[in-house]
Amino acid sequence: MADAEQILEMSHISKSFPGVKALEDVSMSLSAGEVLAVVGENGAGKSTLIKILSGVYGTDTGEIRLQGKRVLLRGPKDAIERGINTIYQETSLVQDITVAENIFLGRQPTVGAGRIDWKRMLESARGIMESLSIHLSPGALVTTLSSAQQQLVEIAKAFSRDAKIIIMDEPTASITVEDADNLFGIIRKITRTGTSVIYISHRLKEIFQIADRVMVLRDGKTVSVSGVKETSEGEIVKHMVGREIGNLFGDASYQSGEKVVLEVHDLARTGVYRGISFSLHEGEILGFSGLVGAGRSEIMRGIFGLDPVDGGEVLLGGQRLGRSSPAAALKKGIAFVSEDRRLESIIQGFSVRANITILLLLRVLTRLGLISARRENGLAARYVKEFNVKTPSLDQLVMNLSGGNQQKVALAKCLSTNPRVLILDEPTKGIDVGAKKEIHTLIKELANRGVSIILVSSELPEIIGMCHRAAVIREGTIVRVFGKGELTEENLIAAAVGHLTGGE
Amino acid sequence: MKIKAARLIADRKLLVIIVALIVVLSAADRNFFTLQTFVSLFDHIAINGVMAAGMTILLISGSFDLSIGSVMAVTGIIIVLTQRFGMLASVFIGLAAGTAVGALNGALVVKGRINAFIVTLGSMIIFRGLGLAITNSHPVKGSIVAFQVFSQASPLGIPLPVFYLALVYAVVWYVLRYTKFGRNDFAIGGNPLSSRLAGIRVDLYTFLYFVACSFMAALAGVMLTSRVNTGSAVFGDQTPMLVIAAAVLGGTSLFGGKGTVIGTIQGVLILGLIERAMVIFNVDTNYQLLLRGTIIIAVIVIDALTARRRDGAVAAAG
Amino acid sequence: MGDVTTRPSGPGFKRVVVNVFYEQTMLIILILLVIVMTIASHSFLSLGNLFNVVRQFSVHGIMAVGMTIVIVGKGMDLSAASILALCAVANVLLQPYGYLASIAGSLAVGAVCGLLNGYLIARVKANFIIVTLGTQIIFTGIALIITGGWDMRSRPEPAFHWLGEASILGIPVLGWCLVLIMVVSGVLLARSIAGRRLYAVGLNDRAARASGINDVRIVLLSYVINGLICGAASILLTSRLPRIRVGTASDYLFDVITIVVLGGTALSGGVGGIYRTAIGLLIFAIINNGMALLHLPFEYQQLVKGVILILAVLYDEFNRRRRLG
Repeated sequence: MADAEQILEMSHISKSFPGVKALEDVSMSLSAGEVLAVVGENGAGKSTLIKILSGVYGTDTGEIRLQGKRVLLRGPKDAIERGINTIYQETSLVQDITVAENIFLGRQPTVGAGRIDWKRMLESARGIMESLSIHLSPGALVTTLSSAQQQLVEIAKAFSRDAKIIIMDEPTASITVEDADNLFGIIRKITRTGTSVIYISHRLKEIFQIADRVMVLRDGKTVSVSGVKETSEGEIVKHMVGREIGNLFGDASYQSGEKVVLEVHDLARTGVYRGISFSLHEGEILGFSGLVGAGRSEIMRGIFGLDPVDGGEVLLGGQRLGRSSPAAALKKGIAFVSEDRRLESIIQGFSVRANITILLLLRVLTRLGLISARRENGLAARYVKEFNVKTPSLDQLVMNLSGGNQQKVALAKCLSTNPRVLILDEPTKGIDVGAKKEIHTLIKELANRGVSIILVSSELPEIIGMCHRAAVIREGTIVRVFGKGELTEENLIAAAVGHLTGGE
Repeated sequence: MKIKAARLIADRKLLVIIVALIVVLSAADRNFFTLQTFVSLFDHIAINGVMAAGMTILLISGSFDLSIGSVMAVTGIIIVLTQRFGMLASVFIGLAAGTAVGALNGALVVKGRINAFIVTLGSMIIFRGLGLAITNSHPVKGSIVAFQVFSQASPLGIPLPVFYLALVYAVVWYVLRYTKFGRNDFAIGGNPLSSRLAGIRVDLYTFLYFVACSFMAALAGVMLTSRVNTGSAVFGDQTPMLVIAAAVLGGTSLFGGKGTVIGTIQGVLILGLIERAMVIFNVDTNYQLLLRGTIIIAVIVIDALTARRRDGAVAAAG
Repeated sequence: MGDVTTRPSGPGFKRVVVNVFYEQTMLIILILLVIVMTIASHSFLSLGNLFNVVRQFSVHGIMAVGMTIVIVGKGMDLSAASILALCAVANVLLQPYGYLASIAGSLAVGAVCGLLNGYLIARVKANFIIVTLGTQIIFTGIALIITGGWDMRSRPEPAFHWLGEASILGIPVLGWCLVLIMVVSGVLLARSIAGRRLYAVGLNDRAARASGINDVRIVLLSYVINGLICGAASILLTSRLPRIRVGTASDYLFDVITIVVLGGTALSGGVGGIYRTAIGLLIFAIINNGMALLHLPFEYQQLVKGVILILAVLYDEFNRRRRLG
């Protein structure tokens, strides 16, 4: 194709964050009126790519060309003004005003001296939506629309701004099949007018329905770009995986125990997950794999009592865990390390010492019932030493530590109660290699000592290297539980995207 | 259960409450149901009503202003103290001063990025203190008797304040419905980030909303001072609470993005009717205070239980 | 991929020094103030003056303790002054029934008021500003109903008179009470389990919940304790003043908030404590005393106090941003 027809060209784009290479030498091109799907497992670089295109991040190297001209996107507003609109999963509409006002947000048509021309605004909105076959009333309040409908309004909004490129991030994540078909019809209408669509999704079936070409990212690099007609679901899956795992995980198996420590029966939360049933054995590391948004964290938070649960039950050591709360769960022997290090797993404004001892305050009391500095320091120092937390002092505020050390503090805190079950949600996310190794070693030691561990992770090598078994979650249900021999990247990805090759 | 009862307030069923109150009051006092009573009722609520209109604008954008009581008082004081420059001049100076406070509040919130609570609380305290200082803690009597015309004159038998009220509400209603200034108010309150991305100058508008709110408070100050021909630093002590309660009662959410002046005026009317009821039923002034406080709390609690917070989640009850 | 933080573990030395400076600014200011005042007025350091200051500001100090506790939990109680008034009324009413009754009454009333605040804020999760402004009206209303708007004449029984006027070891009893309350509260806040949990909730209620802390209960407790402390303050207030007028209490709110913020306890919660409030109290007391000794007219004193509050708030905001890095 002639160069001039390329609406967008990204050449040799790289983007790194401290300790992590998010994108490495990624290049791609996009023609007018084309639908390009972008696939990749968690951490492949999809969201970084989106953020770069929508102007949120800058790039370290490489250049972006729009219609042949080199551009430097100075921010989200700049990107929008240049015709790159992004539709995220969370709605960005203003809920309590009309559809038409949202479409024309900030640029309402006026009559004379600043008076809004409602008639023209409503009619124009209707016109835009009709041309896209979106059947919604322009005067309806956005809050009365379903999320699928709100998404359509966002598309109409982008379209009305003469968007040249519309980026859609997992648009079908929370809508019905009919709405999805409707959406595809609208996408086809848009592309016919020359607008291009970048479609991020992991639902391979849909991609083959709607996309013209598909680009696979893995570990921040482009693996392949192929026309949809020249490839297959199986091939895509293959491209998504297939790396050298190497021996990052040291000596492998030791047996997990026989005794069942935790049983979950039919756990459900309306709209989020359902039918979750599994057992956890003593000293076992059970992995939970799946794509972001599949519901893994939500399930764990439900078990731990942080979020409400609508059905099912949890049995710890044979005993039913009643209406749970974190305090109750901790007391019974379940500990949980949240994936949100900034806001949930530790208290950033507290010192290292205070964070470690927060669950154990009863144990550091003097006779008068007050916290003894001596005992507290002793307890904290022990853990700091055992976990090798690099900190100048126990007084150091945890927010000043590196991510890896913060994670160690969070782990130390949870382990201070000697839990029987430890739930770890993305424990090594965003941590440098050295600390990762330490944490992995720690986890294995714990399992050896008899602690049962649930490891939620988006890093396949981690799941494969660490776990005895791994459950794959897809859209709120357990698709499969793989045993040790079956833990391959291909299996895990295939299950996560809903593509299971026969004979498994 | 709680939510269902609360929906009653959030919906436009305020009229039901108003009608109910009128019925009760008419039953209790034979002379109640006359045109005269209603006219005087609106006259009475005009001052709070005007302030509530301004507060509504600000609440919709997601902020609030605790200093309106002080602004009202200080405006009045300045008017009285500058009356030697002539009546109109003094009114003008007073309005300017009151509006300037709004500009100050707005600037601190928007540019200084200090939160609205602290800024307006500080303003409230400082300007009341200033008022006390200027007047040596004594009310100051106005010297121009003609000034009272602003409040006392009754063309067609209807006191001027009622006209002011009607005019203010008509203007604000129009602005909120037909101007960018007004519609952007909802956008900014509902989703400030999207508004910014859409090119709406959130900072500028927020600043202007603070100015508008203070201007209304200053206007109320003119009306009050003219009514009693006195300026005093203790006026408007509980006003912020009552005005906010009236607006919230009328459907404006403390969390921003929602609100109507029709609702607000109904809220003001309801509070006014309750005050009237307390007089008719000979409720002791101190009990009135208690009742007022309880109503405010009740309104706030219901708003807290039913409102959608900025992050989109509906508040869970407890 | 994204927000990875691999900052070196610990800020540089220079940054540490700067941090310490800002954290201890008020202590430095206090010292400077004392020096300035000693030079400016020869009666400043006289025992008579100092004891006067103690008597004058002990009620403020006690209320500041309660307010500190609530603020640490990321809240604020704007009804504190009206709780003080209501408890004082209760105190005077129960005086005919003996000391125990009036003391118990004050404390009980304070606790109930605090319970109402705490329930609405922690459980119903209404906005603490509006709630406490609303309860302020309610409590003032109740107090006015009971007193009929008139002043109440406190009949200082010998025991109360002793509280208000006597001295132990030369220092006014009021001062001892203040010190006692400050020390006990300070120790409890800094070293009790509940105190530690309160700080956690004030810093990050989500993380506190994930650590099994019942944030609703702790915040509720903080308001109840504040109510109790206001009750205690009212006992001392009635012992000092022969007459209680409901209106006088409202000045306290403004002063008490100034004291806490001056001391450096963060309005955003989770930082600060009684030690800081003590410094804030001293600074506040000395400034007020200074203005009186220098015969500054009343209204200008009010103005100065207003300016101080604004400066203190700005200082607090500045620190908040600095702490976030």
